[in-house]
Amino acid sequence: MSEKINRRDFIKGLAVASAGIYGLQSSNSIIIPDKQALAQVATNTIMVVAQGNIEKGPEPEIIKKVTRESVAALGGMGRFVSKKDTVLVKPNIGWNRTPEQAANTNPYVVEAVVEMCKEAGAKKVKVIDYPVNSARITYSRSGIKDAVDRADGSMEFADERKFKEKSIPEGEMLKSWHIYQDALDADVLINIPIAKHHSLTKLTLGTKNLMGLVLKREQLHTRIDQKLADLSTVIKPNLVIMDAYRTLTSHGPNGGTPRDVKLVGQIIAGTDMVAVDSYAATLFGLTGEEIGYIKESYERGLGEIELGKVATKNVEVA
Amino acid sequence: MFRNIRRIIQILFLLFFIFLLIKTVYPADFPIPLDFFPRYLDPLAASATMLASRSISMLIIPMLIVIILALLLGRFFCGWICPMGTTIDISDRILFRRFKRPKIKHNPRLRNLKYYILVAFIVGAAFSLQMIWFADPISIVTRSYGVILYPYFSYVTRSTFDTLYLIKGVNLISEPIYGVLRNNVLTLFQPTSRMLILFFSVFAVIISLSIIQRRFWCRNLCPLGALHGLLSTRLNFWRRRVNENCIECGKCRRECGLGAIPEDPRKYWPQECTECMSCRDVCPVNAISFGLKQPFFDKPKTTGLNLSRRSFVKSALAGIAAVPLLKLNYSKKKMDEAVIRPPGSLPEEQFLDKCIRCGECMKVCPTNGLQPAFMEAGVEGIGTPILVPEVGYCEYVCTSCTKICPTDAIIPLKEKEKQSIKIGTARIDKDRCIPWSEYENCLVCEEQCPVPTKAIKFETKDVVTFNGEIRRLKMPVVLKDKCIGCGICENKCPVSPKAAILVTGQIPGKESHGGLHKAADTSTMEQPSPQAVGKIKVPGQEE
Repeated sequence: MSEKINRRDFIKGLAVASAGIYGLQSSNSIIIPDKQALAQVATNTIMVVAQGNIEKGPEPEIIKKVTRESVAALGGMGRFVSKKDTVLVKPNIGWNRTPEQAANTNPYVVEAVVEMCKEAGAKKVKVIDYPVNSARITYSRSGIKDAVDRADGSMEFADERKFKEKSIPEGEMLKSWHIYQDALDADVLINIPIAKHHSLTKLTLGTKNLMGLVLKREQLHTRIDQKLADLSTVIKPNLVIMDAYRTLTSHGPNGGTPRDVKLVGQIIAGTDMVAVDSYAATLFGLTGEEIGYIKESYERGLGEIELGKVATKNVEVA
Repeated sequence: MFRNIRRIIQILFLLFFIFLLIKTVYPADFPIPLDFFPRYLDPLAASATMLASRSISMLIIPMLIVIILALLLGRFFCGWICPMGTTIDISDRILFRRFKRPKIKHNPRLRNLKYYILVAFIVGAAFSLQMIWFADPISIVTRSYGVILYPYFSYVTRSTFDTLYLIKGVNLISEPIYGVLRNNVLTLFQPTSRMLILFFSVFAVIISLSIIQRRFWCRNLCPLGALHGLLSTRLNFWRRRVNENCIECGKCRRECGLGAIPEDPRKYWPQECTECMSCRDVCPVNAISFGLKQPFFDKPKTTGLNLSRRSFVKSALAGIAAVPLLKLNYSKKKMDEAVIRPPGSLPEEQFLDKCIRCGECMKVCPTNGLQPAFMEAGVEGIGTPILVPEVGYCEYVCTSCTKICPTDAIIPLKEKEKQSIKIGTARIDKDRCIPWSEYENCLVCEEQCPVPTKAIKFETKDVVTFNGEIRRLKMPVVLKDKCIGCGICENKCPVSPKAAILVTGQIPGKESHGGLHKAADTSTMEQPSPQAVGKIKVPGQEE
């Protein structure tokens, strides 16, 4: 996407956008990072659901294409990433599982995202996670290390010195926590979670993927819903790209049997993490209201939970 | 000149040895066997483990090759290859170069000690007690570098770069270097060893003994040196010769690092000579040469090897006497619960016969969870690898430790085989477990469980708290038959310092309380386990 914005379009878009925003005022909670205020002009769509043709192969091309189309329909990566930006991409690389087991973000989604950031002129695209299992093992077995290398991004191991204690002014349970400095410093933070089952919270989605950017995650499990909402008042991704190409429907968050894996074929891109999470919940026959941390985030005004109020664009990718 | 060639070769072998140890990381797939030194260059460990386990393994082939080479060429291994010898040479040079050693008269009784040590350990092994790890230099040097010096080096590097990191400007240069080190040499976290001080003291003593004599260890104590020495007395084509130019200046005798040259410098003791060539290079009249000799016609007048039958028998008896001393153990019957052995370990008795404590498995363990045992496995089991979930857990997909055991105390496993082997069982301490005792949800253990259908389930219960509030909580329950004992639940449990879920061992081949040897194969249990109280909610079948 290389849409040039001229003055006429700008004014036109501004009118459309303000109307759009006004229409969504009832929730008065859509996160529009500063950088996007201008880009919002081009489109007021805040969530795109791209459906891939799962029958068609080969898979890598399909997944990359669906990912690209989802971001294109949202206004293109240029809407988020400017030239010379430092981008931090946070996939879920938590587990020592292979892509078929749907416990980590699909490597081709990551590859497509890194490529798009590069194309948008990003100076550096860092891909990082602070995994549950040993990082060297998860990075290689998830296929993400290879994918990032192919896309010419830089795959980094989390550096424990860079977890800095940050205060969480709006925190209810957490007043401060150790958060990865690079994620806060990056010009653009892109969260690419995978949608999967989790016994405690029912589902692991975008908000929960933020746990890979903090220390001592085990301690977050008591009152997890409040704590996740607390974290997402500080860590605010500019873009969320949910990998629901394969979902893990049971025995999450790591799974391991092919029986539990469901081929859905969707990639959901959006700027409102709560809305994206809320939509992803419907893929499991649940609603956002039923997932504690989505509800909590919504009640704190961090995003929209009612899908009817979210400007959604559906894209079929042939 | 020859001396310098020898030094270069020594350094190259030491670097190769260190290189292999650095490459000893997950997934332990490397074209060269990572356990090259302990597996192929250690006839002592091979013979002792084969004797103790009363079995013949593939180790016999490299063992015979090394023995034949020693028969033909003498004790060259000690002078040219042995990483322990090279380490001692280097530390001698650095630490004791200017040091004035006490003048000790040459004492064959001290020198003969190593032969008696060898006899005691070998006879002990024949009587089923394998303690060779205690004195075998290859085992000592492998664990010293892999389990002691590596964490030490790692700590020093880390703290140095952590300090540089704080200095603006300098960190622009230091960080890229640190990045390269971190990605290629260091692990991502600081490795530790529980036996650091104990193992280190053995290493330190060996190094410091050089205060008394150069290469004190190699001269007087090393049983592997003794074995090479004994082999090199008979055939030995490769010999030191002194021609008629010799002026008896004694320079060679003073130079010899192993005291292999007697008063008459024309003679030498082949079983002590490591063929280091130093005497050749220092000789002012070039009277000394090394070369092929017809062995049967040119035997040295005396080998100087004068072992008394009495001492021989005494040391053999000492080896036998030690057997019950170390084997008798009051806690033996509980031992299968006390320690978690790495997956693929032989049954305990055979494991102890074979393990030489080289520390390769501990070095390769990606979570640092394999640690040397202190007294958990009895006196006989000191230093053997056990999984300590408190430190690290067993990665579900990793089989590294099974691939690099030089004596096959841990047999190689495929990933699928490894995942079906039960090494322990988790038990929940309900008095400390958060939902059971604090009425808050937690479920970290269930989340972490790597068994594809989860060996930790949960039951949903309505609990009345102390202030009358009713809370619906998810209580974790372990399915004993499915649990493989990897220890990740204990490792990640947020209750500290002692976790609220503890993993006890299950030594392969032994069954505990009717627990199953191969959990995943025999159980398709998705239903509540018999010992569970109340209803277990199976994920996927929500309310």
